[in-house]
Amino acid sequence: MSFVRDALARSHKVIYLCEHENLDELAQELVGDREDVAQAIERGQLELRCAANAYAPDSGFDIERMLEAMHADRDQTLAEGYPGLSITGEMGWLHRDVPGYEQLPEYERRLADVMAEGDVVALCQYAHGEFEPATLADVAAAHTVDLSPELAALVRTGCLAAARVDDGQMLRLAGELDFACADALVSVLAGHFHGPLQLDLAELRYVDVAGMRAMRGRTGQRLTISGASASVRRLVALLGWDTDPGVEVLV
Amino acid sequence: MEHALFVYDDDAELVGSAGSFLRHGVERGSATLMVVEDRKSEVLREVLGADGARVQLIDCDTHYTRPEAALADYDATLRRLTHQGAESVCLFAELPRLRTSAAYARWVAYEAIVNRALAHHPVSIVCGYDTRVVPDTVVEEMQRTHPCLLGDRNAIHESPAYGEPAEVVRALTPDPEPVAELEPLALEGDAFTLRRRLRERMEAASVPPADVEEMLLAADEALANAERHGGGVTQLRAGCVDGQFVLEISDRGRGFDDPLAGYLPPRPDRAYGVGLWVARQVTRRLDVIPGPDGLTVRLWI
Repeated sequence: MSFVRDALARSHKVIYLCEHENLDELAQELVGDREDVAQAIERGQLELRCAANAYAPDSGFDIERMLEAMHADRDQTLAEGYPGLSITGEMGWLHRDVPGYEQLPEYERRLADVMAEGDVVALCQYAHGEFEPATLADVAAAHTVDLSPELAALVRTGCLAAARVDDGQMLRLAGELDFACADALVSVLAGHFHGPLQLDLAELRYVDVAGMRAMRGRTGQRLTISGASASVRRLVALLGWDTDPGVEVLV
Repeated sequence: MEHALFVYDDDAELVGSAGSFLRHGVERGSATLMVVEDRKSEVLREVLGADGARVQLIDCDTHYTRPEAALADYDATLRRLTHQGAESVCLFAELPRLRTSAAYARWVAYEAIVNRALAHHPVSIVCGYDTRVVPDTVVEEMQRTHPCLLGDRNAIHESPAYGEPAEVVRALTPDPEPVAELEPLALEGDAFTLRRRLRERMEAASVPPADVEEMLLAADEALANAERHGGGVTQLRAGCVDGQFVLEISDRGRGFDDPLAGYLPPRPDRAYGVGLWVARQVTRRLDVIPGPDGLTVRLWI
């Protein structure tokens, strides 16, 4: 959702490729109580499509056709006067029985090239556990964490995603941050975030002690947390961070 | 930290000793707290007069629900008071009335743990035991868990019976019985996959949603320990026992011989045992069971 909201806020046209065939249901879910999202759908800025039809209309995944369609969408978007196109696709429908599945890593690499042209951003939503590790690793390599302003897979298993937002001042985490992937976050922080750190955890569904500790980086840098859930707040208290002058949890 | 035992059998003694302990605290500029039942707070406030307004009251029935929660609450309260600028804290505390001697057992262990768990705080604690209510055997046991005794005119004496906290807790922790009703849970997959599998098992067993989240976190911490210190998980078993959901996590490690593991609040200079601390906080019960092939942690929710 943050991807969609960010894209709308930047006045991008947004195409959401949805796994389920029931588009009305997804629309309701996306809108929730947000009037701006409802209006975006109404005026055509946010468009919902069925992923399987879009990616593989003849039950086969064809990389050339897919990229061609994306270019056409981009051209039309720019012609309609939008500054850019944001596409997000749920990839769970694509599994090894679909013809063309083996082209997926190649597709993601080519997609990254398209994105590098600047006016298209894409978020591919991979459901954890439904892809073979080697495939996911290739896909993760195609999503470069520190360059993309959007959520990109941080770990190979795809259960945690991270994005720089607000001109790189803030790191947004989404998904599940546990002991198995905490080191990935430590590396990202050590490599790209020095000095005081701001974390947006509004879309972090799950975190454990190792995950919380990873947020302090290797140096115990100053940390400001926004979007903390009740369970994050409780862990903050149980870890004694509520009286740690180096940690601030915004209300 | 100072941790003294005060045994008494009438209100005059309570007023004389606990009352003047709290009054001294107020006069010295310490933050002062009393954790007692309503009736005793009224008795103490009456004798403290104007000073009574500066003694914060915490209801002992709501404070002392479980030893794990009481430890976390005291640690949080003391951290907060220090954070707000208090240089010292005076605390007079009494356990709520319990029906049987057996019900006191875990609180005897708790009093022993306090000596280590709150040791770094600038706090002076006097624990009141009213022999009109508390069984004599319990009062006697408490001599082992308090390094000091409060005597006449609030003179502090060493307690000759005081025992090393870890040894007292070890002696009071019964060896957990095997649990037969548990069924294996598949080990394949990473932590993310195991959480999903465990969630499905709990939902199938109609575990309330809030308890599901607590168990997932506790299980995660035990898994992390097994991976990091125990040479990896060898077996998971789960099931319902007496209306509680139970999960066992076994590893191939030699385990650890520390009866206080998971009872000491995290501190910036204490990196170990934090996962177990959180796991103890969010579960109803946590058993550590060393075995010939490795260590088993049993979680109850």
